[in-house]
Amino acid sequence: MSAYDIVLKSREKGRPTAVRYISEIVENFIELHGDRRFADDRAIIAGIGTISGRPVTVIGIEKGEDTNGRIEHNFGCAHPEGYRKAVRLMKQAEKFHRPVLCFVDTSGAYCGIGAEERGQSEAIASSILEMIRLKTPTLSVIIGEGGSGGALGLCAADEVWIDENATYSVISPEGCASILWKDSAKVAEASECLKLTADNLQKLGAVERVLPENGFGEEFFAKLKEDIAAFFAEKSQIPAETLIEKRYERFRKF
Amino acid sequence: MIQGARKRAREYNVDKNIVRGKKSARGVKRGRAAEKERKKKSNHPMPRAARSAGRAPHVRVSLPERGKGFLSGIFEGEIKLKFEDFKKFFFRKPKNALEGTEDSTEGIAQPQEAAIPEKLAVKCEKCGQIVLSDEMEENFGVCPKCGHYKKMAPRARIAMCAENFEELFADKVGKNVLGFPGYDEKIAALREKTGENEGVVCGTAEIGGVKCAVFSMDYRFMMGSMGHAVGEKITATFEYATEHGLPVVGFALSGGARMQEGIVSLMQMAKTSAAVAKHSEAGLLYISVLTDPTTGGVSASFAFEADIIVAEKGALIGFAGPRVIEQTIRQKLPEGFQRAEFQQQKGFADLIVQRKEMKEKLAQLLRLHCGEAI
Repeated sequence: MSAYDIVLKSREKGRPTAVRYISEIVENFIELHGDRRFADDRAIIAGIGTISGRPVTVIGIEKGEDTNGRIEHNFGCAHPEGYRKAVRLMKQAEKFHRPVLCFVDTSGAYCGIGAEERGQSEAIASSILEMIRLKTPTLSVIIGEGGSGGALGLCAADEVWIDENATYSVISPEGCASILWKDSAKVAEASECLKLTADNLQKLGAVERVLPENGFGEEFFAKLKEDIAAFFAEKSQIPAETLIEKRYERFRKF
Repeated sequence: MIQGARKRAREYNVDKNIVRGKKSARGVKRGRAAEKERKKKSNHPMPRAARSAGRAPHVRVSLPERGKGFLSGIFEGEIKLKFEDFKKFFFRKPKNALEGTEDSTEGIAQPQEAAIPEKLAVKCEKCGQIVLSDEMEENFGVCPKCGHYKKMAPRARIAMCAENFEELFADKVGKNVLGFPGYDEKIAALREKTGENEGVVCGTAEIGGVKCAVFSMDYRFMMGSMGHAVGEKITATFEYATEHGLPVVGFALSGGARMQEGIVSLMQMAKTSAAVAKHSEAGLLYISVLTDPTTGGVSASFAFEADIIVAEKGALIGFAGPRVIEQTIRQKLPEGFQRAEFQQQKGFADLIVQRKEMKEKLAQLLRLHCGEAI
């Protein structure tokens, strides 16, 4: 499969979105709303629940499952208030020593007048800064598109896992083709050049695990749940300072 | 210098317009129409070179039409100069250390002798008025006629604000990790052109008598885009500052992450942020000066993570560039959108500082934090 085929697959209609992952993996999920500053961004769904009995904070970028859902969730393009909600709940998780689990699926943070007025850059910068020094285990799973800064805002984690047909990139292949070659038709070529597929990302060290999708059956979610539970069980044993130091090294190597 | 070039031009019987840069050295017009014209003419029974041989042999004979290979045959032996050599011979700009390592061009003088001196006057890119270079320089690149801020090269900016600058990490360079087509060539050309290794200059300096670590980004280097080298140098600067207990003053200027390095450049956002976090936790001051433009991955990471965010007057500061926003929302953006003044009004810049006051303002801020009386 070519890189561009994977790009198309990562955006495919009917692909499970964050809501599905949360309902399959997290028990007793209670959604918590709002950034306590401006609004509740529906592109980011966040709350608390348990995974195999362990309380966790869950933050997911939600694209929406059908047309109405996509409109409600702004196609998974978060505004600054979305990232500020994420930061608020991460700090809360830190206070109560809960690990943080993020599901990432966005073509990028929203760009528009309101987003700029409310400081999209500052919101993403703060999200990265707070997440990278959070004193509690963090895990991000890229379940569709991992689009640039908008994705990184929730990917400054101890480990990043990725679905086999998901992507993670500094820019969309369309954007790359139109900026570099002034030709958005060269999108397939750009997809190839950007090395945004799971196997390439693993080679580059940007992700730790590639998750075989197997048609997103029951087994897929059961296995993922088990892996996440084991990951948090292991990381919760590690003192916060060591955790942060390891996280620092993880990003320092690039 | 220019006289030398003109004199040589007379000797070689070259059109004086060539020396002035109004015409190409081939003496031919450019463009598609001109190309057609040339093709017509080339039906002449005599070879082009022979036709013009009587007039200006040095120029006409020796300049091959690029990509046509009409030199095959009798002229091959004696013709060694290429069009590029001639272009360099006549249109040489002032040199810097990186240049001048090229093969000597046989039979003609070395390029530096034909160099044309710095321009005496420059045209303001905003109002179009002609301003004396000296005057522009004294005014730190701000147009005295309309107040437009010209972009500043990183070393000039450091020189404007700081004393005793000592460069650090100058040898850190990136590599083409993704094997991105055309990227190596682009970097090589930029190195040659700017004399800099990468898109940021880092080091230590004194501002208002306070020692600090500084970094200053380079608009000439792919508009200050951040790849491995830029991220690494900035991270190393923060680590150095943390280790030595120094404040950091950073001049941000960037269009964002460098897409040719793909995910590696995205990771620089996290890497630099982590270094900022460590520096901050050590109780040290970080002043970020946002200059025109600061957008994308740089604004969404270290540029907006400072204790004090200074915006240079008029600078464009934002997440997405205005063109991208206009394309997304399909409407025109209001005047002044994303400018420094807008950022201050919306609460994202602590203060706006004019270029000529930058040094004093930074000195004041540093002295306030670093224990000395003002």
